[in-house]
Amino acid sequence: MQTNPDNSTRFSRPHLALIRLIGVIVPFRLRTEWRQEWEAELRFREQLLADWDKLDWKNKLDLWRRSLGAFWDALWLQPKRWEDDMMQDLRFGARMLMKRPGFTFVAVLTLGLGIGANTAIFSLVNTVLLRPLPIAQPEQVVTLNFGVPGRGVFPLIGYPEYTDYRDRNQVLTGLAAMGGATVGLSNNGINERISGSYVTGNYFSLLGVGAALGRVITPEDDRAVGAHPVVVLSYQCWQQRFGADQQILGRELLISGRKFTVIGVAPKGFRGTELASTSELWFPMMMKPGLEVGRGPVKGRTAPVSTIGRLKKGVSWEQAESALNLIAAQIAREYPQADKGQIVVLSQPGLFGAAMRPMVLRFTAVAMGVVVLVLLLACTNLVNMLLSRASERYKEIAIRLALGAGRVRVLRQLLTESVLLALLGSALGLALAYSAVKLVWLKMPVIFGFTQIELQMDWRVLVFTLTLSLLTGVLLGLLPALQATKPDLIPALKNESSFGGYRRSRLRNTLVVAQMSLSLVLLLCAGLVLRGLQNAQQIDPGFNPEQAVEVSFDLDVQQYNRERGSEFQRQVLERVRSLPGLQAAALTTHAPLTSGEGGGKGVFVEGDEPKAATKAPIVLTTAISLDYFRTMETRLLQGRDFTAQDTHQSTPVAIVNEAFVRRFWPGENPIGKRFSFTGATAGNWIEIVGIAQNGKYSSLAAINEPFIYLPLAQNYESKVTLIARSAGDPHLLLATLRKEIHKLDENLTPYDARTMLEHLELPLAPARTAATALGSFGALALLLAAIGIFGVMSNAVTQRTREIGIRIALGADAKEIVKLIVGQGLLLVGIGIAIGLGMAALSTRLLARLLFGVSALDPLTFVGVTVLLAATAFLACYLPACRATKVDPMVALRQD
Amino acid sequence: MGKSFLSFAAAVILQALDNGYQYGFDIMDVTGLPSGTVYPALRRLEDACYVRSKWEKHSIAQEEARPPRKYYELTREGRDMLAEARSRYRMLEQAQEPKTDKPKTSRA
Repeated sequence: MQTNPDNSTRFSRPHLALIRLIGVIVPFRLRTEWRQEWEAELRFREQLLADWDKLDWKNKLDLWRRSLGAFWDALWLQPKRWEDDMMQDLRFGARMLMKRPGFTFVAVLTLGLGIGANTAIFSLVNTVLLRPLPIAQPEQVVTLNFGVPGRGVFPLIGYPEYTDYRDRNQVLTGLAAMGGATVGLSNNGINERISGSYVTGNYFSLLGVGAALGRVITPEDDRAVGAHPVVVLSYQCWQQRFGADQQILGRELLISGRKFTVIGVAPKGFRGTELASTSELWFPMMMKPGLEVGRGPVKGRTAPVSTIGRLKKGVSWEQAESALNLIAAQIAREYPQADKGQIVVLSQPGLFGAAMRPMVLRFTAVAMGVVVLVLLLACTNLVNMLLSRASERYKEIAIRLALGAGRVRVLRQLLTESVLLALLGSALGLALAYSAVKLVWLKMPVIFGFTQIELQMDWRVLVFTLTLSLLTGVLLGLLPALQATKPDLIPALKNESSFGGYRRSRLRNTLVVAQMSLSLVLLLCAGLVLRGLQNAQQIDPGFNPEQAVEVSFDLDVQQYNRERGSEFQRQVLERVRSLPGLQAAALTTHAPLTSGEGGGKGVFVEGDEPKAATKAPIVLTTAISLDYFRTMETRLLQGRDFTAQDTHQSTPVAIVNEAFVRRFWPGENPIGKRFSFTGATAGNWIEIVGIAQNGKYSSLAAINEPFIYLPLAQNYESKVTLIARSAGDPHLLLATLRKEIHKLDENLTPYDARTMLEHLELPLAPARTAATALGSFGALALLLAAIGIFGVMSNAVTQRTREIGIRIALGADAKEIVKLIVGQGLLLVGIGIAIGLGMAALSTRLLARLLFGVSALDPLTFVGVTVLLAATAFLACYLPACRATKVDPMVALRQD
Repeated sequence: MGKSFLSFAAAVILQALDNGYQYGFDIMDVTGLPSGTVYPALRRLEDACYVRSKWEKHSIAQEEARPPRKYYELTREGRDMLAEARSRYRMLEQAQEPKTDKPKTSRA
């Protein structure tokens, strides 16, 4: 039986080598016999035929084929593994877990929470950073960002400049442009504002995106201005708004008052190349002029577009970037006024070019850090629990070792148990994460301003979770298992309770200290963010949000021109102002603190030396109707308000805020001074007639932002927000306002109707999310830490029973015993707190953006949270200490 | 294991064993079944005690300078089972022909 073919034969004959190889997967118990049977058959067959060297290729092939069959045989043997060591371990592990349902429950729950939190956050990371766009070879696709060194870059550029880059470069197979637009879709008598994109004719072919139905936009559709009113629907739009109508092709849709013919439906899952602003409709770029809603063309230029290009084969990212920058230099020479100093920076598409990526990275890094911390905490706790379990099983393990079990074998068994725990935990975690992701995404659509991003749990998330849980399992099990398999056999077998000893308890103590410090860090972060939120409520936004409401409407959706639009806006105000109980009403193009609503313009001050457009400081602006300041209750500090005499025939005027004055004319009286948006030479001067108080415009955290108010009469925009103030119920007022607008034009759909207090909540959403997450993780951490301390102290009391008994016998009273035990615990707590405070001091500054003016080292939060933690820890020490006082000295001394 | 366990392939293999094809590869040749079917079936039959396996005598193997082969025999239960299966599967005759050098290709 032992006559194996010698090695030389085995390796010179590939079929025999194959058998050796396949044998690896045969359950160990059966492996030797299995290999021998197959080898013998093959060798016999070989001999029957002839010697190997003389075999023709046909017979060789046949032998090969046969030996490949061994693979199936081996596969069939897999169920026999049940009797293998691994299965034994698994079954034993499962039995051990079932024997202690309480422990298992707590452990699985803890792990489930920890792993679930990680999975949830990872699915976010996966969606925004890892998952490639649903386009062909996404790794070749780049977004171009334009800007001036030191001033940041933005993925937008004028359409004419885009064509320059498109036609002059040699490094891209193509460069497409798209411009987002909000349009009004009239469907079955309902007018809805939905987002669409104007795309160049090469957009779909460049991305390698075909049509699910019909065809996509081609270069032919994009040749002449206004010539091809065609539209491609997104799959989702087709499904949801048109009930997956198979006859949709060729249908005419009324979009912003113009007729468009549906030519196709985009494939499922394709919603454009930006995660943050997904498209439901695509039109040819040439249809863009006049159709664009809201943000009209920048004065003197076409509205900017974003660009996306595909690198030629063999062209590296750096080569492409430097080639494009050469073109930028060329263009700058040709148009020094507009494009001087412009540079091009490439970035991955999806997150608004280079603009949003850093913010998303920072957010996800913090979030990921927090959840990993929580998981670590959960692990620490479980390691502690497993350590104490290992101590209970000390004798069992010692007996096994004494009977000759290898250390590796016992280790493996213990590790199997902890991996089993971790797998159970990850199953729970996946379920938790899945429901959490669904819930969060239903409840909180605005975190980054994402609208329709769909968090999906794809294979990456599953692989992540599985890896995490295996790692966790090993991490969990290794320490206790190493400890448990290294016992001094003799005392263990003699049932001496010397278990534990100095080193073992030192390890557990270290874990408790780690736990205390980690939970302190989390709770401090949560506390700081909460304080920040509290602070944010106190911030003066520069207007009075109480009793005020807002509702927006966009007249471009209904194809109003400037005259009709102005008239409509005037009528709305007139009607609203006549409502009973209304105190004031006004229109503004950009309500303060509206996310994503820019209105920023480059400012040139009269008397300054001329400079390039790209060098002008950008200041936020809004156009307002009469009565705006009274409606918002924003104070005018100096000069006059706009009047009915400020029309587009009269001198252009503006009211600026204090910060603007401080920035451009510090210490001077700015009334009568002039500035311009179009360059110092153009001469379109705007005269300052008044100064308003400072306020918050882009974010609550911004300080001293300059701001410009312009009269709406001189600066018409189709998209405005109506703000009204009354003494009555704001929600009733909102309903009335909507009704009034509807009466004037029943096809116009007002949107964003809410009270100003609700409006103010929006910029706080990220902080609220963070506070909720950090707070719940922090609370979880505190609970885990408390359980940890309790466990360690209980164990300490058990170990020191005899000592305590002697002390009591010698006359120590309850107070002294409590002091002894609590003192031991509090020492650990103290060390943990000290380390935690140090770690927190280093890490809380990461939260700076969410703190709204609260210092990252806010003493009140630091003291408060520390006291809370210490009190909890004290309680967790005190309970075991009380038990210690109940030790009966007689019983204790008789022990063992 | 119940009677339903005996698949057609298993019955064919029993028949082949009964006819003196005792080695795995021989059974493959005569039945035309692939090794991925024959071997697992043999193991199941062995588990069900219809078949038992033995190793060839060492001396024989040594003479031919190769490892000993494993051969399979029908047990009493196996014979009973085959008799029953034979009445059910008429196509078994294909496996019944006397041993020749030419492999058959009567895949079920």
